[in-house]
Amino acid sequence: MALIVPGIPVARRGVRLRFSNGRWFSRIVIGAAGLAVLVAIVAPLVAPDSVTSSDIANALHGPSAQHWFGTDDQGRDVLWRVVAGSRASLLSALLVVAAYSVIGGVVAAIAALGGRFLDEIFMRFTDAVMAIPTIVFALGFAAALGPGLHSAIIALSITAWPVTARLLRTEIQQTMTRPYVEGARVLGVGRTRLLFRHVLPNSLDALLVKWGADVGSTVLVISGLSFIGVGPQPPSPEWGAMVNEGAGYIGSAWWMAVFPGIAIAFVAVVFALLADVVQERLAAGRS
Amino acid sequence: MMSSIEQPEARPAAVPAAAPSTGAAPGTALSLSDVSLRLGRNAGDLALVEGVSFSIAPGERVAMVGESGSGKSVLARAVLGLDRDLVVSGEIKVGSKVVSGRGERGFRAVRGRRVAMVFQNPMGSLDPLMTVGAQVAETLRLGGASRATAEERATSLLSELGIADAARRARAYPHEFSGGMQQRVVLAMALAADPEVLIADEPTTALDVRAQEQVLTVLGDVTRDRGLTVLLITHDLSVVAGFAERVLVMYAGRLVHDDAVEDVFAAPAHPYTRGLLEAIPRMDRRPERLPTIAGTIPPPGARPSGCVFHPRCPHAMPVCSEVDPAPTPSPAGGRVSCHLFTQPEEDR
Amino acid sequence: MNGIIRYLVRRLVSAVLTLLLLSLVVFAMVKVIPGDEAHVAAGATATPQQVAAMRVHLGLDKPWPQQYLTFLGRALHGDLGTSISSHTSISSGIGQVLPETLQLTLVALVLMILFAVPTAILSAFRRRRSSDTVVRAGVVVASGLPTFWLALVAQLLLATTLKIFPISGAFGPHLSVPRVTGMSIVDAALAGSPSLVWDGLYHLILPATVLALPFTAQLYRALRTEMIAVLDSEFMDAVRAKGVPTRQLVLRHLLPNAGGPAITVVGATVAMMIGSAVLVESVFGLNGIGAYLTAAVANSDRFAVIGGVLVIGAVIVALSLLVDVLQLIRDPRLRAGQVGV
Repeated sequence: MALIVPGIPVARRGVRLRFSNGRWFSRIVIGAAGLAVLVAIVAPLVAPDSVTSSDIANALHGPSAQHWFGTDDQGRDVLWRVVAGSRASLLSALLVVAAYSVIGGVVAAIAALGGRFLDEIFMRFTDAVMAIPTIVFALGFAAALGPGLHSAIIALSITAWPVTARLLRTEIQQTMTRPYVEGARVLGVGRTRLLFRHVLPNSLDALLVKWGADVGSTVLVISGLSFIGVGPQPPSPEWGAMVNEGAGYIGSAWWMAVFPGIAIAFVAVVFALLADVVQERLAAGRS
Repeated sequence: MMSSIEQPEARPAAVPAAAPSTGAAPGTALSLSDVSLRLGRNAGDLALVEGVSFSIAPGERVAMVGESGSGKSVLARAVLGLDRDLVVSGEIKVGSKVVSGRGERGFRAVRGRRVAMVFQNPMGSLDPLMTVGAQVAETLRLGGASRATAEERATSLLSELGIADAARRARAYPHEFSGGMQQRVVLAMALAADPEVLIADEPTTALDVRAQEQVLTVLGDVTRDRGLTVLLITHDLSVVAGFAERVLVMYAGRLVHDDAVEDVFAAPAHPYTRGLLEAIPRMDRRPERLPTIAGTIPPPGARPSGCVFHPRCPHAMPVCSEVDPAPTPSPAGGRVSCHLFTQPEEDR
Repeated sequence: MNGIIRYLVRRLVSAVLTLLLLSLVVFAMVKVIPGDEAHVAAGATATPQQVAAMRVHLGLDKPWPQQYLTFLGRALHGDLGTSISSHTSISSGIGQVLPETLQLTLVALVLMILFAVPTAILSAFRRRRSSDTVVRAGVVVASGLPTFWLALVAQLLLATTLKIFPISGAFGPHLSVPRVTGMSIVDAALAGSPSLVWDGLYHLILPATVLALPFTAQLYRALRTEMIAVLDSEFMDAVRAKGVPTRQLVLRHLLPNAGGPAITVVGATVAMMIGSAVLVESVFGLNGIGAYLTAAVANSDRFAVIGGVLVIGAVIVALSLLVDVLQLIRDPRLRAGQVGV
């Protein structure tokens, strides 16, 4: 066992890196995430038409003062395309997360409150779905539903709800066995009321953290799907598709593929960090 | 070179307890000279233990007592250099070999082979993924024994320590044993390399009363058979009575009292020792309230000036808050650090 | 012994159930697709008679439960149907490409372990609190990079520009190596040709590294955390007090005890790697199941896609079973019947 001496604070934290765990770090992260979402909502409304129309004369120019991210093979300004593409990638991710949370929540409630048989079936079902990598499953659905953003969104919502459902089910079970909940039940408080007033708030912690991380990974998957060709079709901008389009020009016009990729990475990282930050804030709030 | 386990006479007989030696006398099994343990290299850094000196003769059985926070465990661990963030000043010697001041290498030379240690929580001292026999044999193999010999010796050692059906049980895992049995396994592990000194850090604290008794008996038997030098760390004075010949009393990082066990129990010299004894509930007396020592032990950063015990001492004198008492001979022939016994002309 | 057998039986049953459910889900996916299956199978130019004939041929006139059973029966015999686009057997098509993906994943796994384990050990021994956050940040960044993009960038930098590695992951000799397992490198080794083995590896290093990167970061972090916990635990003190030298301490005590979460992470990683492999393969021109699936999707070859999904699912379920068995081997406490890995 490491040295534990009474009277001495156990962890003598060494010098913390200036930009970590500090107040302003979490502010930056939250700010960045908020900014990204804002851009995703606002940008498509503000973006110029050049995003989807062609201007071949201008094609494949490198980054310059007029076009900070250069132009792509259709002469479109890459910067604006990246900005506009945030809707497809980021907003869809948010939509997916919202969708599967609701579905997952409902299913979890049914499973947890519905008795052992239902519960068992549910567990096996979740295992089955979790066995397949998301991308593969989504590919299957995309084959079924045809390419396009909608199939990606539907596919991901369907594949992701089991994990949330499982998480919530555990939370529900744990909360239901707490003494104060049992007491409330004995007093005749209805189950639904219990659910909303006690279970949900308790699960919120875990959910928040998961949401943060999931938005990031969903963006990765959506862009991955578009990269393969399942997802938003050209000419509508989407980061993964843009990387795909730029792949062919990677040697000559690297900016076509690199900038959208950076956007993807940026969002994924910011939201993952957001999840971390939220987790720490919550943990600190508890103690 | 492995000395056989069956040679109890190879060790010198226990030295009579009435004359504990100080300093580097010939034939010391373990000696500490002015040892301090600090959290850093600078003099101003927090000292967990300060200025401790004592030596133990071969075959002697010494108990080190004190409350939690007295520094006794830390000191014991320091003999084997187990806490690398602690800076050791002063000299630690095992036999005639200086162990301190040479970094990892100094301690490596004695670990397991010359000084063995038994810890408080037996389940915590055993690797949960290795069979019990393999763990005992590991010590033997480090000494150079072949696999077959090590296995055989491990089994006989386990059997000697009272584990029935040792050959089969040696292939079991730690979690399959009870606490008392686990502690015997830990003992076997410690004894396997035939050390000269055994340090036992609260070996019975985590056990229930019956297991405590059994482990102490076993400990007594095997150490006597081997003539081992034993340093037993405990906060339980009743354990001391049955086992030790000599008692070292630690308080707030200092060694305040060093006397033979009979004298400590019959007529304790140091006020702290007396307080400890009086705090033990007795069957023949029924006071209305259990006596306690008022106050609490000061943490390392907040040790008082002068005598470290003076804020809680019923016999405190003005000099006690100013001058730190040096160890002087106690009435019984041991050493005590208390101004009640300090004579002006006396030097150490 | 009893407890172990019961546990294994339970896990096996669970795995089978999972696969069954998977097949059900997959089957449902096919049924849910809008559009007439028979029509799609017969082709856009088919006459109504041909469509009707196809319907009977595919058994689509029977009730769904029966269709499912037929489907299941065929699948268990290894018959996953016929590809709509290529008109060849789906299972043989998958059988051709699956080993390539597995090979890529294996190489990536090996790279991951080779890198993560020693660095985790070193970092656990010399830990400093400040590096903790750097590690965390590093892991987050490494996991956030989109694999396909990383593949492109790596290819651009290391293959096209610096020419250190070849652009393509595949290599010509595959044609000239007798096919035994379908894994080109293994086949090359079996054919006794070390130069081909090296060539194959050389071609795979870049794609495998790209594939492994995010997972390496996660494994490193998990390992490091666990190792620090083990190094701080009580029995480590006892081990050191025995005088055990560092190398033995690491190999015989640290790794087995810290390995638990790592094995689980590696298991989960393989599943995700197979998913990611789909993306990496297209960039590096590898002919694995990823390429197969992508082509199937592009051709709207629903049966092929379904077949692919089912096969991948089966592989992963088998893997997770393997992970559980490995954990049992490692930790005797689990064998004693305390459920929960």
